[in-house]
Amino acid sequence: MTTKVQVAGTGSCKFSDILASPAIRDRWEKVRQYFFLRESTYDMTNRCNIRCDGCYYFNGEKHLAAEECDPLAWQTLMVEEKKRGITFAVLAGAEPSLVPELCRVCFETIPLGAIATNGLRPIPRDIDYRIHVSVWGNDAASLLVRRAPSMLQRQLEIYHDDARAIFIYTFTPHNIEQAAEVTRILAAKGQRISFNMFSAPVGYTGPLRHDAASLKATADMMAKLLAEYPDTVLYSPYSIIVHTHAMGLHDLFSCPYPRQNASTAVGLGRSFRQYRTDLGWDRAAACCVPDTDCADCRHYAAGSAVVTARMYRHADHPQTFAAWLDYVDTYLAVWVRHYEKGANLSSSGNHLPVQEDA
Amino acid sequence: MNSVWYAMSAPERTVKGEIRAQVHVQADSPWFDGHFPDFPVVPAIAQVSMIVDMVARASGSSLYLKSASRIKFKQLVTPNTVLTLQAKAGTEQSQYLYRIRAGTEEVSSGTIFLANKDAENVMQADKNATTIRVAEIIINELKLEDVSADTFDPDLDLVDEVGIDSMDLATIALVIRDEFGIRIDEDDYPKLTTLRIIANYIDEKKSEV
Repeated sequence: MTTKVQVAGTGSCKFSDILASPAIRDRWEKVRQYFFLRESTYDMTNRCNIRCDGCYYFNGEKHLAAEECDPLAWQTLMVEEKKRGITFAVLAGAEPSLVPELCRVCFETIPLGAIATNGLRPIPRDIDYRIHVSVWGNDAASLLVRRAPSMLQRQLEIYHDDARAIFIYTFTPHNIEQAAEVTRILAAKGQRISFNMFSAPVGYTGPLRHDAASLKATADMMAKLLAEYPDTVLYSPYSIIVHTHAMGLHDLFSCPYPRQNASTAVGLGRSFRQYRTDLGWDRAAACCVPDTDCADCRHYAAGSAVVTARMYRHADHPQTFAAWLDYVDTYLAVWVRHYEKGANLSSSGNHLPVQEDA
Repeated sequence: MNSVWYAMSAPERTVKGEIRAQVHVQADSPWFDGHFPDFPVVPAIAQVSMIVDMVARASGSSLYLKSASRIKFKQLVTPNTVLTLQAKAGTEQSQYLYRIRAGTEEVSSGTIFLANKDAENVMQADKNATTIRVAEIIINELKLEDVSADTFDPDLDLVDEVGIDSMDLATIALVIRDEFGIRIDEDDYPKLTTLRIIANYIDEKKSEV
């Protein structure tokens, strides 16, 4: 099947008319204060205490990079990063909680950021980054896919009273129904959850790759949980549409990360870098989830940049723009400490600014 | 029509589209002052100026010489000579081929390109208004301090020197889209990085309309 994407955003509605709605204007003024955020991502260590099927980190060659363990070297890097305008640090692969002293150095230099962790080891409280605790199903499923027993139970013990934490539930075709159980448990514990989609690494042939049926089932489950647990689930109707669409994020919105974007004029193509554990980086491979198959990328981290960056094409109609605002409001709440999500403005998510022509 | 420089008959248009007039350069014309003290002749540039003047009068426009080529001056023109001026539109825009004769003798000939002063003034005024308004939009949207629309450096790089990113550029593009009623392609707005580039872009888009 060949699919054409026709970009809208031709200005059928004036931007000032869109902003005439007080609710839209208020939300616009709220989110635009964060336009200064410029991210780069950092692999902190090539070690992990578990090994998960389909882990993006252990695909490709990233994990073969040597480890720079000297906090001074990391501090020097962070100072340089700050100088070149980076305002948001994403600490990821393989397991940052194993190197808290390096995480601390990053936080002390760039005070806004997020850490992606499997949640099995505590991260010192003084490192005041947003913490994303990854969940891949209920404990039985986690044992199968991640080979770690009682994961959710252990994660909750560590993060039970930690406002930094948000649980990120990664949907695979095999854990869709379990999301209800996990969300119920997290809601009962006063935790918050947001959603990720398994996005296959390049060359992945395993059973976790989504298909049309699992995308539909995931969308239905997300919508159900969002309706049932509005105080627990950080998501929006438009997020559901975007992340469960048959087309991946790149095909929908044209990914602006350097890996898919040759321009260095402005935006992510200019500033984004993905550092490996030896503090080197490669523009040709630079994106938030390197070695993911771009055609299958529905990753939550990718969407936070890819969809957000396409603000212009969403400023075409009040409903489309409201849907985009919901998306950005969600992304900021998930990624930025002390940012509180508002109620979604758009109850229906079907506002993609594209037309598909199969 | 008489001037202190010369007297010109009302320009006429022939059926072939040629413009014609006669000019009498009186002996007391300032053109002869110092050109030359002992041997007064009409300066070469004055001959071209007469042609421009004739075409401007014929068209009722305020024209000026933009460029010239292949100009040949074959005869000296002394005081009180009556000249016949001829000009015809060339194949290129604003191009005129001209010839000046004194009796049957050719004095000079060449090709000139003219521009409309009034139209350019209007365009310039519009451009200034565009630039000022865009500067106001940028200052307002980016909340810039210590700069006004009048003092805004048109070549200040908003990305490199002000430090804004693609989201701010997109916002500016949306406001400009509203304000000037133009379409800005999504691929274009990341290139709109200085006031001058933005103003030129707007002018181009408006001229397309």
